Parts: sequence; structure tokens; C-alpha cells
Amino acid sequence: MSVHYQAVIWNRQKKIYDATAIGAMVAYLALFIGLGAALHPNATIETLLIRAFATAAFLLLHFILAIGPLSRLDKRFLPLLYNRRHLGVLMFTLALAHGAFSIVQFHGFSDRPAIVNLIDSFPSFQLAGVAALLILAVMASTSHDLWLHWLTPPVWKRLHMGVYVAYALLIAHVAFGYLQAESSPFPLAMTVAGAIALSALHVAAARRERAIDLNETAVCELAKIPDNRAVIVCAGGERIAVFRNGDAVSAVSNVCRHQNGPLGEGKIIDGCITCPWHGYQYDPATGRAPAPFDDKIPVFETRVENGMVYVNTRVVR
Amino acid sequence: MTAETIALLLAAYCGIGLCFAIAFVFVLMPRYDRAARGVSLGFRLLALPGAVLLWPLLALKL
Repeated sequence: MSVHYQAVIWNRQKKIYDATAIGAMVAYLALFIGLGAALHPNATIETLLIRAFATAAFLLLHFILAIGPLSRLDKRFLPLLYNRRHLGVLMFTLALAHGAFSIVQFHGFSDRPAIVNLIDSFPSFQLAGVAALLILAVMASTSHDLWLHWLTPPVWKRLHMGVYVAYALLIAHVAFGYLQAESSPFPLAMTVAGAIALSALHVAAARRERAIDLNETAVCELAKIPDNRAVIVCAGGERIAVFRNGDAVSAVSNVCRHQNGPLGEGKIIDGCITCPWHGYQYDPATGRAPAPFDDKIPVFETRVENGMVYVNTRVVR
Repeated sequence: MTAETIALLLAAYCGIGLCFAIAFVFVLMPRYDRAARGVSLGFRLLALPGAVLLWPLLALKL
């Protein structure tokens, strides 16, 4: 949608977001290695690095997977949703560092190439980790808009839903690797708690959306839609964002044409619906992106009667 | 199939991918995508890993 691709379109918010994320990860790594060296004086620096990178990446993956449902449950989490893909690239970098150190540590000191030793370990928890790392590599390397254009949005979306496959593989990687050698129940309890928390969040977010699922055209009371914001509803099998701009109401597809971002979690800025992910904008009345862009999202007919908003999903402009 | 053969196939995939990716980011991408014309070297390098990994998909699209 942009006129020319840029590596990153920096703004103040992105800089703060990235600096916070990188700062937190550096602090975590320093703390983990410092505490690890103090509590386990016999541990080598390689072992500490491998574990520090692994736990940092795994924790960050949980955080990333929690952002989506948290934002749907409570709008105060929305700022975390913006530029979430930067967190994904950071998480992949940490996972790659873990993988590289591990391969050198466990397979790098033999007559055969490390990669051959690694493949020969099949079936092993290590290969589950490698498979997850490959999925994360594909996701990180295709996170730019360029790939949305080249792969098309449906393919890109399916590719990036692979994060759940990667998560399952990482659970297997942790369960059959690290946890097997651990005598303390704490890491196992943390892993199980993480999986349960993520599942619960996703179920809660899905149930909340289903609770406002519609079989009829009445959507909600106009007064309950915050000004310049939207509520997201399901109607006619579609997720629809119903925006309020003063007394005006408009209903549009909840899916941004750019990267399938949730438009209903955005707001109206300068008279345009603005996607919370990357700031792509659309006219609420026509669904058209402002010039020079030519993208358009479906717009549905609305009417307000006795303070109640009605949406006709069969009528699309 | 032995581990050596699998490693060789992986190396071949990545090797072909790297050759394709260099051609893609410097020649093919700007030719087929108007928004990719005149982009910086940094952006081209950013696009390189994805092209190495997904070169068969990209080749099918050309």
C-alpha cells in the first residue's frame, strides 16, 4: 500500500516500543546469567548463555501470544499490539542465538559437520526445536509489507498462524529436553502454567466475541460505542467494526487490507478509521483509503433507531 | 536417506535459494513490484532471508 517500501517507517512510538523491548531483554539476560553464575558456580558460560537465550525467547513468545487476546479483552493492552511483529523478530533473534550456541556446544566438536550430527539425532527434542526455529525464521523474515504483497494476504496469514505450531513444537522441545534433566518441579510448573494461561486467554477472548455474536441486525446501543472508537461484532458470518464518530455510525469489515489488522481495535483519527497495527486509514463512509492509495474495505448499511444501532450485512458498499 | 544426504539437500536448497534471492532482490523484485523500485540496499538485504527460505514460492509467482 505504501508508495515505496522502507525497511522500517520509524516514529517516536516505535522507537520507545523497541527500546523498551530490547532493554527488557538485555536486562533479563544479564540477570539470568548473573544469578546463574552466582547460584551455580560450576555452570559454564556456554550453558548459561544457552539457557538465558532459551528462557528469554520462550517467555517473550508467551508474551507475544498473549497480546492478541488481551487486547480483545481489555483495550488498555492495545498499545502492546502496535508493532507486535518487532517483538516477533526480537524473539526469533533470541531463539536463533540459543539454537546457534546449542548446536556448537552439543554437535560442534566432532569429526562430522554439526548439522549432520543434529539430523542423525532424529527423533529427538532437538529437532522439535529446530523445526520451531525454522517456522519462526520464515515468520521473522517475511514480516515486512513486501511479503504481504508477494505472498498475498491469505497465504501470508496462514504462514504466520504457524506461530501456534511453533509454540506446540517448543512445548515438546522443552518437555522432552530441558525438563527431563530438571529435578526441580518449578520449570515444569511454569511451562504448564504458561500453556494454561495462554489457552485460557484465547478461550476467554473467543467467548467474549461469541457473546456479542448476532443473529439479528441489532448491534448495540449507540451510547455504548465510545466516540471515535468501535465495537466489534459478528454478523452474517463476518467480523464487523461498528464505529461512532459523534452522532454518525459506520460499519466496516474488521479486517484491514494491509495486514489483516483488527480495524475495530483502532480509532478514528482525522476523520479516518485508523488501523491499530500500522496506521492504515479508510474513510468510514466509503471504506476507501485516502489518495494516493486505492484500497477499499467493505462498508455495511447502518441505521439508528431509538438509540439502537442496526447493521445490514447483506448490503455492502 | 542418510543424515549426510539430507544435509546435502538442505545445503543445495539454501544455495539455490541464495542465488535466486540475490537475483530477486536486485532484479526481479523491482521489475515486478512498482513499490520496490529504487529501494535502499538495506531494504534489499532485509528481503534476502525471506527470498532464500521461500524461493520456490516466489519462483512460481514470476
